[in-house]
Order: sequence, then structure tokens, then C-alpha cells
Amino acid sequence: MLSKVYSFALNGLEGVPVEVETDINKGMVAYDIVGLPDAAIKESKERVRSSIKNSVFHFPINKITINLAPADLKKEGSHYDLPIAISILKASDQLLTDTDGIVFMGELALDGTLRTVTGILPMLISAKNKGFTRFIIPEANANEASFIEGTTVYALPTLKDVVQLLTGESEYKPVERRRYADVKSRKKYNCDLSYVKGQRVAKRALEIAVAGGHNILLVGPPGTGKTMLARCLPTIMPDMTFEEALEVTKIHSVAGELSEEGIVTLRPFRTPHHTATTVSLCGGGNNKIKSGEISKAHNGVLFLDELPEYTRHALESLRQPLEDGVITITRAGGAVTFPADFVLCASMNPCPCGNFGSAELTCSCTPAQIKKYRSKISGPLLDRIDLQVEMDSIKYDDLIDESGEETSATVKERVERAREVQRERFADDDIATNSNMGEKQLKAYCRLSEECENLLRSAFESMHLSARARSRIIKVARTIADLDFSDDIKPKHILEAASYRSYDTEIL
Amino acid sequence: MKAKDNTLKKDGHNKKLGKKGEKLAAKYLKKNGYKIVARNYKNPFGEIDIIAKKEDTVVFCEVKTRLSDIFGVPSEAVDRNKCRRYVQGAKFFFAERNVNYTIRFDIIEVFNGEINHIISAFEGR
Repeated sequence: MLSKVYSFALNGLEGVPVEVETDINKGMVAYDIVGLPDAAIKESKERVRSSIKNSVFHFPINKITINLAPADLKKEGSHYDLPIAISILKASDQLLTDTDGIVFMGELALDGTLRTVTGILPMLISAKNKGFTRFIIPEANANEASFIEGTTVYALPTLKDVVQLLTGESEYKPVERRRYADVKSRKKYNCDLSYVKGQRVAKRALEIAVAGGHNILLVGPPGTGKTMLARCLPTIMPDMTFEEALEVTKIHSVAGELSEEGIVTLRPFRTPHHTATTVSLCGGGNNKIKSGEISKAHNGVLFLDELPEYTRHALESLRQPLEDGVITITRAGGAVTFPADFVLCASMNPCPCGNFGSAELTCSCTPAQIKKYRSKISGPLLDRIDLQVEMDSIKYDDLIDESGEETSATVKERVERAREVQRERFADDDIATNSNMGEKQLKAYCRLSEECENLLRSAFESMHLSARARSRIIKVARTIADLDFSDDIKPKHILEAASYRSYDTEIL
Repeated sequence: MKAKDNTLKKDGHNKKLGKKGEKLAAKYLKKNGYKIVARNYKNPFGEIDIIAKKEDTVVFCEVKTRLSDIFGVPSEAVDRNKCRRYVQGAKFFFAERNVNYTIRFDIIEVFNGEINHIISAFEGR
């Protein structure tokens, strides 16, 4: 009259095994779930009851106690429906087969159909690492589960099918393994760098940003193509490796934003509106700590359009993750670490009216207005943006000129070569791009000649740069040198890198 | 226990009707293999219409009798308060007895002489 079935709980992106124990006994007819269930699990009661009845099983009229162990871990989500139902069927002797070592996950509909649940992939990966190899999940989650080696996953449509699989009454095929390479090439972006006319400097800066994983700020009057350029960023980024894709998919799976495909193959491009709150950007929440936009942009681009319009609090909260590539969210209930290694792309107007610095248009703002507008972006944040590019409106003739624009594919090739150089360089280090270099790597790989050192010194003094800005200039110079296939950082690389720092200095 | 007598109907019609329904319900239970343990079991929390027993299950039965569904189907008249009183009544009943039984709460609707037995209509909490 006692049964035990395995399922999994999620703590951030980490799966924790949960034992669903059911005891059916004499006493006053009741149905209790203990073990810190959330509202969705408490409500599972009615779903489980109806789906068992509607799957032509018998729901025992007894005192039923369900325990989700470990009892001190808060359980969330609707994927406990299936393990609870199976556990009840086992405890009431309607299912006599052994279910040891099988992990059950799935939400039940009243008619016994299995519904999709979120977070299958991270739970699957954690479960595999903890030695579980057999899984029963809803049919609609099959794609998500098809990339993990060394597991046997059954994706079934109904509770009845699950029981028939367990008893051996019917034969079911496990989910077929799919290869990442096969699904990767299917999806395409619907923008291209060649659609943006002119703006050579900005395009060059984008290329550098992507090649070295640097952050970029585009400044220019309205309508000069800042947003369009930003949207092209993912198109020139190198394709995600399988490991990168898995990391991204894990985050999106928990957030419930996964498409049919079951894996994220395109680099994410997140554009939170400037009304975004700090928590929505960074992640948080009281009971369940959820990932924010910066984590959903992991391995991709976080695009902040109209940077000064964001609340100061929200922007300042980006400082630490920009530096570390991860964010640890701490609440009373515990701490969760989400990856947040993204390229920050921000855009803004140079002044409230938008025309300051334009060759054609006149600015109608007072110096005080401009100063106030720019002061919305703090120095420390600007310090972390390696490439600051000013754009101007382009001439009509350039607009209709059809020739000479590079396509994303061409740029991407160069970027991929530069990344290849970096990968070889950092083979022994735990980093992938120049922007992730620490002091140790800076010393080892970015030796500067005397001439470069002098150049940098004069820039440092005249532009009043910080120590961080200095090392960031060197990192960008390293990326420019990589794009140039140059082993050493040459003076021209330093000069170009320093030229992208124009916004650090006081203009007015 | 029936709801309080309607003061407008002093002729005791509803009371009679209820008694008749309970009789029918008890007969029905016996026919279905239940043993009647007690009828109109009075306790500090109210009255339990029928206590019946079958194998290792003890059933506390509320009987609702109606002639028409103008005021809804009979079982609708069993509200949360009534359920609570039944559960407390059951606990009272078992306070000095061995509780090695499954304890169930049923509703028997008697509607125009037809019987509808709702098994485990509500749960003890």
C-alpha cells in the first residue's frame, strides 16, 4: 500500500531528484500532499483524480497521503501530476511493475492526456548526471529530450499509454536521437548587414564587438539605422556550438519559451523595452527564482534601445553581470546562479532632440539639457562598454546605392576566423573570447611594444581613462589584431581601439 | 439532520418527507450489502442520518429528499457547514471505538422516489 516513484525538481537550472511517495491506508477518506508543494501541485489533486478515472482506472476511496521528498525543498510546477498518478496506481495495486530508476515528468489533463511542461531539458541533464537513464515525459516535449546522449526517453501522449508501457501491454519506441548539426541549419535570420547602407564605422565596430565579445554603444540621430544594425548582430555571430546551444536551451526551457524545435539554434537576441524593471532584466522572484532578460540573452545579444530611458537602477544592476558573465540571485529562500554571458548592444540619441553632432541637422538642445541627458548613463556603465560609436544620418545617394555593401555572411566568415584564433590562444584557459580575458591572460597574450605603450599612455592621460578602460582598450586592440591576423598588437590597433572610447570623455 | 423547520409549514410535511426518504435510503443500502449501524445518530455537532458498514468501510450517509428540483438537486443542499458537522460527528463516533476502518462520507439523493448514491461525496479534513 506504499509506493515510490521518481521525479525531479528544479532549483534554478539544477535538477534535484524528488521521490514521490504514496501511502494508501484506512482512516477518514482524504487526499493530502505534503513536502512543501506550491499551489500548482496542490491543485494537481483534481487533475490526478479525474485523469485516473477517465483513463479507466479506479481512484481509491481511502486515506491517501502523498509525500514529496526531500521534504524541506520547495516543489514547484505542474510536472508532478504524472509521478503522483503513477504512484497512486502503484499504491492501489493497479500497476504492479517495478518503476525503479525511471523518472516521470508531465502534467495531466482531465482526460488523462499528458501536457507539455517546462524545464524538461535541465532536469534531464541533471538526472542523467545523477545516474538516471530512463525517462517518461509528455509527447510534446519529445524534441527537447532528443539531443541528450545516453538516455532512454519515452514521450507518450496519455496516462494510459504510460501504464501500458510499464506493464508491457503495448510496445513503444523511445524518442529518436537527433543530431544538432541537422537542425542547426534549418532556421534563418530575416535581416542582413547588406540592407543597411553606409555606416562603415558602425559596421566595423559591430564586427569587432562580435569577434571579441565586446559591448557596443551606438549613438546617433533618430533614423540612422542604429536599431537595424543591432538586429544584424546575431547574423554575423558565429554559429552556436552544441554545448552553447544546450546552455541557452536550458534557460529558455525553464522560462517556458522554447519553440516546437526543442532546441535554440539561433543566437538569442533580446530587446527588453525601456520600461523593464530590474528584476525582469536580471531575474528574481520570491518563491521560484526566475531568470531575467540578461540570462535569456546568454550567448547572444542583449539590445537596449534608447539606453537613457531605462531606469538608473535597472542599468546599474547590469554592471556586475557584464563583468562576470554570470548572475547570482540571492533571496531568503536561497541563491541561484544563472549564466549571463552576452554582448550588450545599446543605442541612444546624442541629446534629447537627437541632432547633436550631426553634420546636417541643427541641435535645439541647451548644453544643460544634453549634459543631463547623458548623465543618465553612469560612468561605471560606460566604462564597461568598449566600443562607443557615433553615427550620422546618411546622404540620399548612399541610400539608393546598391553596390558595395557586405553581406552578413562575408563578415561572419571574418568573425569566425578571428574567433578561431582566439580559441587556439585560449585552449588552456577557461575562456572563449578576448573580452573574457583576466589580468593573467592580458599579461600573457597582450604584450605591448614601447611604441604602443606610449600611445596608450597619452590616450590614458588625455582622455582621463580608468584602469579598467585601459585594459579594455588593450582587449579590443587584441581583437582588432586578431581580425588583422597579426600576432602582435600594433600601434594602429591601439589607435583604433582608443578611438572607440570617445564617449568616456566629457564633450561639453 | 434536516434544516430547521420552515415556520410557514407547521404541518410537518418536510419532516415526514425526510423520514420517508431516509427509510428508502436505508432499504437501498441494505439491498446493496451494507449493514446499518445507526440511524439518526445524534451527537453534539448535529445528527447523522445513517451510519452503515460494509467490509472494512464505515459510511456516514446524508440523505436528501426532494420532490422537485425547483431549489436545485438534493445534493446541492449539502453545504460546507453540513460537511464539517458530518466529519466532526464521525470523529465523535469513533472517539471511543477502534478506527481500523476506511471512513467515507456519502450523500444519498432521494428524488421522486429514485435513489442516487454519491460515493465519497466529500472528504474528511
